[in-house]
Amino acid sequence: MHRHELSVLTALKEKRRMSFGELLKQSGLGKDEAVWAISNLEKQKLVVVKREGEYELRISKEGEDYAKNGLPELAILRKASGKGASMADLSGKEDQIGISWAKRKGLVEIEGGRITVTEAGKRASREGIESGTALRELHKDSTAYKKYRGSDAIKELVQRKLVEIKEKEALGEVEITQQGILTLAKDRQAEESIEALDRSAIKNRSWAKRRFQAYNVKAPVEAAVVAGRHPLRKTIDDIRQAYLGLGFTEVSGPIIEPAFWVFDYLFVPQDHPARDVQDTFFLGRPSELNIEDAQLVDRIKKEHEAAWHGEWSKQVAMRAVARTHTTSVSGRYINKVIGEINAGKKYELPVKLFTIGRNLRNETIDPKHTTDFYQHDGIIIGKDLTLANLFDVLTKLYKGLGIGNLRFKPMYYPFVEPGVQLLGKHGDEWIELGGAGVIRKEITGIERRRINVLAWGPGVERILLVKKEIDSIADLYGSSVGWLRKMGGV
Amino acid sequence: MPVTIHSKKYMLKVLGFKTDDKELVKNIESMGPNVKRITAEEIEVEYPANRPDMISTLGLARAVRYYMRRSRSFGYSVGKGDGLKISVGSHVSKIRPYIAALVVENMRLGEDDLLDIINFTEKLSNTYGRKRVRIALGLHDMRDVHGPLTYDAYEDEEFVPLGSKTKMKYSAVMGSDKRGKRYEKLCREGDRYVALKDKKGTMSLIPVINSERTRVSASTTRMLVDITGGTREIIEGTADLLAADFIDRGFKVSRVEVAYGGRGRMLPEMKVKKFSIPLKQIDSEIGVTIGFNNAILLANKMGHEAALVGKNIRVSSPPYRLDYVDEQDIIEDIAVGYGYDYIQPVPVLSGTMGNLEAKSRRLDSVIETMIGLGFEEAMNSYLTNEETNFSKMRQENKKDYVNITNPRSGLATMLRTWMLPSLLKGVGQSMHDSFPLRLFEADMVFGIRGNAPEERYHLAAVSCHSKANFNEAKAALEGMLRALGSECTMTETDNRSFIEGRCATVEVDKKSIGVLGEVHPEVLTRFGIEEPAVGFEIELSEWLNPGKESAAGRD
Repeated sequence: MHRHELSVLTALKEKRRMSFGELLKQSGLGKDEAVWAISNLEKQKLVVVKREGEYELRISKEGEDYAKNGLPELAILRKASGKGASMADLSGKEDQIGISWAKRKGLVEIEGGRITVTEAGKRASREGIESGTALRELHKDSTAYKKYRGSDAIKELVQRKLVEIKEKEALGEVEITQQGILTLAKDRQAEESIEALDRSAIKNRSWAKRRFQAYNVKAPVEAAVVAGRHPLRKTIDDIRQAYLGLGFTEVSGPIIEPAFWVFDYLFVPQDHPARDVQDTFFLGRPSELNIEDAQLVDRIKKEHEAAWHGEWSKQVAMRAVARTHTTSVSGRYINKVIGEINAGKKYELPVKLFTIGRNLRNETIDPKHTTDFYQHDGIIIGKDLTLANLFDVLTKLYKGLGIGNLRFKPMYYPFVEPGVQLLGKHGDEWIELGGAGVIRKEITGIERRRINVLAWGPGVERILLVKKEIDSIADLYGSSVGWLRKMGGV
Repeated sequence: MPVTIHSKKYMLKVLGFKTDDKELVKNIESMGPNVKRITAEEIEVEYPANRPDMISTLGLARAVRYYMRRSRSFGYSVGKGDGLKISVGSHVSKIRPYIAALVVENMRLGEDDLLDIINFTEKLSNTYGRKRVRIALGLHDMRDVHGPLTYDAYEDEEFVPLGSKTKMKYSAVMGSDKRGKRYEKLCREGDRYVALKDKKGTMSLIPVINSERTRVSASTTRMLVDITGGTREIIEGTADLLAADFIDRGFKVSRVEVAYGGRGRMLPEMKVKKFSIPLKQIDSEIGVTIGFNNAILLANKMGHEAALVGKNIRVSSPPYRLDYVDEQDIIEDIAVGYGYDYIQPVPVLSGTMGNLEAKSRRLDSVIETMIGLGFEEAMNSYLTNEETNFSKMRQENKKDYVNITNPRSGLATMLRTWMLPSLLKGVGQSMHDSFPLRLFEADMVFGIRGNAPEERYHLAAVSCHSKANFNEAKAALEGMLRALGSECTMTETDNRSFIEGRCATVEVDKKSIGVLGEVHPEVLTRFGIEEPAVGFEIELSEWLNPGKESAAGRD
């Protein structure tokens, strides 16, 4: 007999029967070990096991409403009691649901648009509806489910999606049999078979004269948890690989920026809605940040005032913000590389750079929106670069990410001209992946004949969403262990 | 992108030719707008923010007509008008200095036309007009308008506002009308209010509400449109846009004189912007070979008039195009006319080697090591609040962190200064999962040094189960550091987030890099954690950027 089996029988010897939970305590075994041992013992008829249904019960929001305010068919009965009511009196979704169930349950009859309450309906008005009573009790105390298990009321509540029930079988009470007691006594004397192999047995070969105890290889165990990378991290890794494969060099830049690098340098006018407090996080500490290059500030001021009319304010450009896109990093590098080329530094063109980073936007957090999101931004700085080149590099990049079917559409962004919207095929649908284009010369400060810049900055989460079924992107930025384990794997 | 819902029946009417849904959607989308929905009655279209001329159904249909080559050229002529004049007074100069106006004549408005015009002007002032800050529009029936007009800021007086039966003072409109409340800041300066008047009194309290007297209806045949705002180029451009829209509806538009002091401007000007671009440049920016005749055709498809002059193509851009136009925009238009779908990708010739930042590679080995130790990677928001970052951790708030002035919710009011709080929050939410719970995060935290923001990389880890203890965390951290080629020492310390006597400062090369310990039971309770937990958080920046103190990129 295996020592775990022995532990179970020993624990049961005195009291004869106990709950699985108590047995775990008494035997000192882990859950997997105990389940395994009990299932072995049960086969040998040394213990008897009662199995009971465990369950998880969840009441939907609609269900909660009804639990508090009563089922909508009851409201219909109230409305139609006495002289009856007309279909025209009913309005709203509640009423629609109510009348359909009231009719189905035979609580009302409808003729020529008149609703009258039947005998069954009158009884229901007095005594209530079983499913309604059950819902109310379940809402008060979920253990009430035991009373209703398998009833029509429960079937109805589940069908109406008012409650959700997951049943699973679990061990309940374990009782030792007479044969179990006898076997326990015998086994204590005779220790013939080997349960666990140990160091001394291997060394002195004592195992050779004995039999190995056979295990029940079918006994259930809880699978080991495999720690892994975050799904978003894996997506970021994939994107890095794709860029490396295309010969791009990685760069990065600050999250906290003066508005200048996030907006003004990128030719976003100072009254643009994206700069609204509704979209961008403005910082209080620090509230302003210096813009290092006074000459650049002058040039950008001139470009803005010529193009957008009205006055451009340096003060507004100095406001400290959390960046709302990684295009600020691209901007910093466009400025750096072209500045250095202008200053005579030799670059081997084209220069191909990318960054993958986190951005923050002032969103209300719900399943579809998070404040945090990643973007991958790429730029190619070179001579004679074309829109056709841009399409080529994006096609290759996304092919590398497993999105083989891309489409390009015209799109307006203040910083590019031509502007491109990137769409990827997911099933039968085209989904928006993000923006791209050729950077305006007002930004680069150099004629396009001499140097131009291809740029793009699509979202990262989109790529993950295409590949994995994720209900709520808000889950991405939490650390619920259950979710991480569910999303784990390759 | 902003959205307009068009009546499909009206769209087909102004298009003037038969087409099916598929062809219509394809052509609209090829020009840039997205068709979100098309039903038997409606077409919902997102139009590009730089193309306010596509807001009206007429304007969108006009673009489709050009794109499908049903129209080839524009000719916008406006009449001289009958001498209607607006004098601009001195009191508006600080609050809303500019006005433009135009008179629309020979109007025969159907209900559908009127609806389109009203939707158009409303949406135009909300989006392109930045909720009437940049542009506000007023429409007036000319029947009861008695020139000359004056535009100024006036002292409080009475008029009958649109939709009202009785006279109201300007100040009363500000107090009672919801538009009054919303736009008071734009209308009132001190005890003066911006208004447009004729001989009979107030025509419009700008940008709040018009007068009942000049109400426009389907029976209106002559209409005055006023456009006001803070930037002359923008409001005069808008006058051009509106004039073109009305002319394309078959109406006649005539000019109004606007006088600032002595000088009068006859508006709308109907400015046609002209560009001359070498064909070679167009080819070399798009990456296709277009050819002269084709270039003219493509410019026409986008509503421009075009001709050949030597090796250049000369383009005249219609007056309704308000987007900032230079040759870059024209080249984009030609690419759109060509159709993005037909531009064949061409590889960029370059033999560059890909390269990762050293930081990424190092961060990667930290992640790898932590996973090897059985910790699962978490990624939490960079944002948190003071309660989670400080109070729940039993830490004092020293106000030395980056905070947000305009949070939408109390959950995101600051940038996190450390990561253990978010990990503990995650553990607290996972009490129903099977133990042990082991989480780590390797990412950014934020702080302030002097007045400058700091962005640093940290590594934090938590292990939570019934037997979690100090030594487990210590063994994990030492193993991790050894794998990275470092040795650390631990010195006893007091930290209110941890149990007294079970907490240590972690030092590498005699420099403190972080903290490790058994999490204080009060902290556990605050995060809803029901089993013991141990954790550590250390600075990674030095490993990731040897020799660099702050985050990369900032000069």
